[in-house]
Amino acid sequence: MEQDGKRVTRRKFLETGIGVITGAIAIGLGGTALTSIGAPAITNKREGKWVEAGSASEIADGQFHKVGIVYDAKDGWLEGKVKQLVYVKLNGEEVFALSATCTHLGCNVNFDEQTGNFKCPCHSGVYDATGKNVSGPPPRSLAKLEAKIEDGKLMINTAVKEA
Amino acid sequence: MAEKNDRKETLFYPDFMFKEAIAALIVVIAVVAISLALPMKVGDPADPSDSSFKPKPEWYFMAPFYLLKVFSSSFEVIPTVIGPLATFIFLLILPFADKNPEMHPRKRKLAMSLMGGGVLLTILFTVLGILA
Amino acid sequence: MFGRLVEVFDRRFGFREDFKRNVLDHPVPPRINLTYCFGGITFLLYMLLAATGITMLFFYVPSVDHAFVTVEYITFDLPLGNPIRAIHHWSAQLMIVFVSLHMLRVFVYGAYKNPREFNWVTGVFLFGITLAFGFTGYLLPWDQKAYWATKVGVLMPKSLPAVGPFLSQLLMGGDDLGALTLSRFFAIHVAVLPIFTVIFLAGHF
Ligand code: FES
Repeated sequence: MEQDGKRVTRRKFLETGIGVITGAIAIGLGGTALTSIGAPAITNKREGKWVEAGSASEIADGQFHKVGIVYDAKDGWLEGKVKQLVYVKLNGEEVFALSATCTHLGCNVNFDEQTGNFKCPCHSGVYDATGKNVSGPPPRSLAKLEAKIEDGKLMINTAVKEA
Repeated sequence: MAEKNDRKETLFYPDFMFKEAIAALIVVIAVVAISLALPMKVGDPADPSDSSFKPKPEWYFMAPFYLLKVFSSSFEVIPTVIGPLATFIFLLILPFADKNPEMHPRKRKLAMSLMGGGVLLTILFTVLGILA
Repeated sequence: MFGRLVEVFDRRFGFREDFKRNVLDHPVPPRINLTYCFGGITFLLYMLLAATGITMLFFYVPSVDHAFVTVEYITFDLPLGNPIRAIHHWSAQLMIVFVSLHMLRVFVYGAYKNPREFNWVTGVFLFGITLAFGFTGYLLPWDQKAYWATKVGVLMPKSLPAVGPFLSQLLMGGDDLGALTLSRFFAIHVAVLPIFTVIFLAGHF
């Protein structure tokens, strides 16, 4: 009777051991893998930098201009050219720059000269000329970017100045 | 009783399996025929600085995509997250929630109308999304 | 061929069990008609997808600077490349159709009920996996269509309060759609989802 009891205890011990060991290995492996897979969500941020975007004379008329900027950036393992669309306009001395990325689901907006508004082709979001969201699904204004004129060149900082 | 069962099994195999093989053959021929008739093309390479492209998902994601346009920003979670998640959970718990032992569709009015309604709505939104 | 063989076996055993139980539970045995083929056809399409997918893996390079050109190569230069890619594409479309028809058939016949709840639950997961295959596969050619549709798709969870934005970043592997997004979609499409498919399929038959 007692022997039986002992055997069960021993069996229990072995079973628990197997469970703990396989469990620890599985959790360790899975945890490591998932941490690594998830990490770029936080670490893979695009850094802001000043980028040349053509000559200042191109925007001299004080209207909005669509400027596709291409610059070197690091994206994960890739170091190479990154493209981005920006709308710029000369306000006297100041350069006003808006990111074209719709704050709804990331499509690029178009400037409509007729109405002087920005329109998103995706779900018809509308922003006014200051970038403020006026109708449709967009939850926020278009992001503003820092921009300036230096030696006759238009310079844009890719970091969002104010969201 | 056992004899009866055996007879039904022979009905299933090989008789049903033969049907299955015929169906498989038809489907393979159909897929190859479509593939030869409509060869693949490539679009333009991805361009993040382009503003003229209108995104279009695959037709089977069209229903939530279409609803994005219908719901305003504060209720947007309904088509994007709540709808798909609710559908998934509804399907998962279906066999446990539906305790009605009846098998015949006519005797399961509630289940049939719920599912029928869901399917019709999905088809409706998909068609509206494709037409839009 | 192998798929067909496996199917023959699984179908036989699966249906045998179910059949006996069904006959015991219910005085009227279900009549077999053509709609019972939907599940088998789905499986067949999955096999077509695996074969053509693995073939394309020999040529496709999952990186933002090579994805598009390697897809172009498969489409225009590789002998039989175009039909292989086309079969992959059309089988995927048909698979969604047949998964849906199969589910509807099972629903209408009440075949998800006791004792086959488990088949239904694994089936629902397989349905989700099929959609995930479609979503991740759509990005891989890295063309305009792929880029913009996926952008809208990955940003959709953003509308969820609190965790939403992080979920989107997790899907993208960063704060924008880019090199890491393509890598992870590729890994999910060709490794993660197939493994889960096999696991759930084993429980489904
Ligand atoms: S992405 Fe611009 S309105 Fe939806």
